[in-house]
Amino acid sequence: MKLRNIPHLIGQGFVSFWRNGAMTTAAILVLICCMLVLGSFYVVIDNLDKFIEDQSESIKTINAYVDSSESPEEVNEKELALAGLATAANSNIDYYVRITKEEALEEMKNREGLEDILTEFDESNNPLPERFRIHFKDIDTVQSLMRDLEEIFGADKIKSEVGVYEKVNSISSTITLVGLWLMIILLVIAILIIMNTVKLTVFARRKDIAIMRYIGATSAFVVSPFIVEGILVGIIAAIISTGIQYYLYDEVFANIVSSYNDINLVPVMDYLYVVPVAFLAIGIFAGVIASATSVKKHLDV
Amino acid sequence: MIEFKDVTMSYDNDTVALNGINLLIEDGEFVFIVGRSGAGKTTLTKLLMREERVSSGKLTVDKFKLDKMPRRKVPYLRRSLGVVFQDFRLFPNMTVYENVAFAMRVVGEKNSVIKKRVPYFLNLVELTDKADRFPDELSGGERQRVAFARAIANNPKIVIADEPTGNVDRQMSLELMDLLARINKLGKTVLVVTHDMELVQLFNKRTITIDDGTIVSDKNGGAVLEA
Repeated sequence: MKLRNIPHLIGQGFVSFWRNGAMTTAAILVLICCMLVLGSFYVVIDNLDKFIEDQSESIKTINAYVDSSESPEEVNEKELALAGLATAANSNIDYYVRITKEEALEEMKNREGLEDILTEFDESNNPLPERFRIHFKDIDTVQSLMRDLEEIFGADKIKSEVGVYEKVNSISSTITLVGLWLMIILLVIAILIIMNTVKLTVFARRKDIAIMRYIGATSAFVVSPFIVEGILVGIIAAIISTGIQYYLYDEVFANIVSSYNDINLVPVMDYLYVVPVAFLAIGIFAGVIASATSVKKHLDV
Repeated sequence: MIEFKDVTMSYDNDTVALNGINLLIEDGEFVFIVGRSGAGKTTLTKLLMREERVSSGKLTVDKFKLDKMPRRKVPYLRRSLGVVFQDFRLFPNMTVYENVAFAMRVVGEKNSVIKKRVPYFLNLVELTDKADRFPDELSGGERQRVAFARAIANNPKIVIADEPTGNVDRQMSLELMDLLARINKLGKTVLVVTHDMELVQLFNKRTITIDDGTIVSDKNGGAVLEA
């Protein structure tokens, strides 16, 4: 194939893309559907992952309670011991907060649904104990921190949700793994569907391919416009899918999720690069592979 | 130059389409290949285009030795031939101009040359005013003329016309044959495969008759189809 043919072949790709309107539209629609399913699945998995991560951050704490019978001096002594633990080299304590009885009551009152129940409690009859909320860094060595804290506060005064954290963490990694596999399967299915559609468009033009061969066109000459067409189908489908995906995410998905409190969506801008690039890659890859393989079958004349 | 040496061609189902063909066609000749349907005429053109391979024997077309030529060289063989088919084989989605230009693009011809030569060929087949039409908008004769223009666009040494008058009326058949005679006068070897004996007799050229896969006669001047 001569170099001077290249602009013509690219142009030919555009022309046949335009002239085979119905077929290319079908291919673009199929590609859009596949990419939207894949894209929606990705953002749902990503949000789920982020939600779990947010939740697990908030339970990465240990509460050490102080008996109400203890004097302020005794509590101060315990805080001193805790501070020592926190400032020690290689300490697993990120930071800790001392929460007085009043603060504990205030915090409780601020929680949704509890404000009415707690109105009858005030400073005189506050049932909540004083406590230290310790934020730890590393889940792997938390057991040794727990033992140190038990020595200071007593075993029955230490409450943590480390067990929950571990469970959530394993659920999160399972979801990521299952999600990854499902996405791979979806991707393969999408590419197969796209290939099938392109195959149909090529089949519809098998006579053209045969004529090209009869008048002496090389394989590269025959295949290239189809590949250009495949790339065009991929690019157009990627642009449209990205637009729809953004709309779905920003409007529809966000509206559904906003009806539930406490869920922060991954901002749509976070997907600004990932989604279009992934869509373009899938579109072009599927378009090119599908065109090249399906044309090859008809070259043998 | 086209040379068949002991060429035999049988299909996968053991049907022998051509059997022991020996034939020499020199440069610049005008030759009719005639015979009943199923005689082996189509197989012969398929062999010349390397659409099929010879089963045994030697086949040379110009500088190409078709019996041992690798597949990748087939496009180059076909570029050296101008072929006109009974069913025209034009690109339905291309205009008349584009159909002719396409053949020139296949060989990597410069745009400036294409722009100059396509109108020349369209003028030769008297289709200048229909350059922007699509094949569907043309009559059978006009389509065949586009096919002629395309066949000679790359200045091939050999022009093969497979039943070129099969889908056109008598008047147009005569005009097409006249066009082929003019192409022949330009120094090109012309091979016309046909079963239209009236035309053959009218044009009085070398005529090779094939029957049952073998050459039964090779005469200068219009032959009479036996049986």
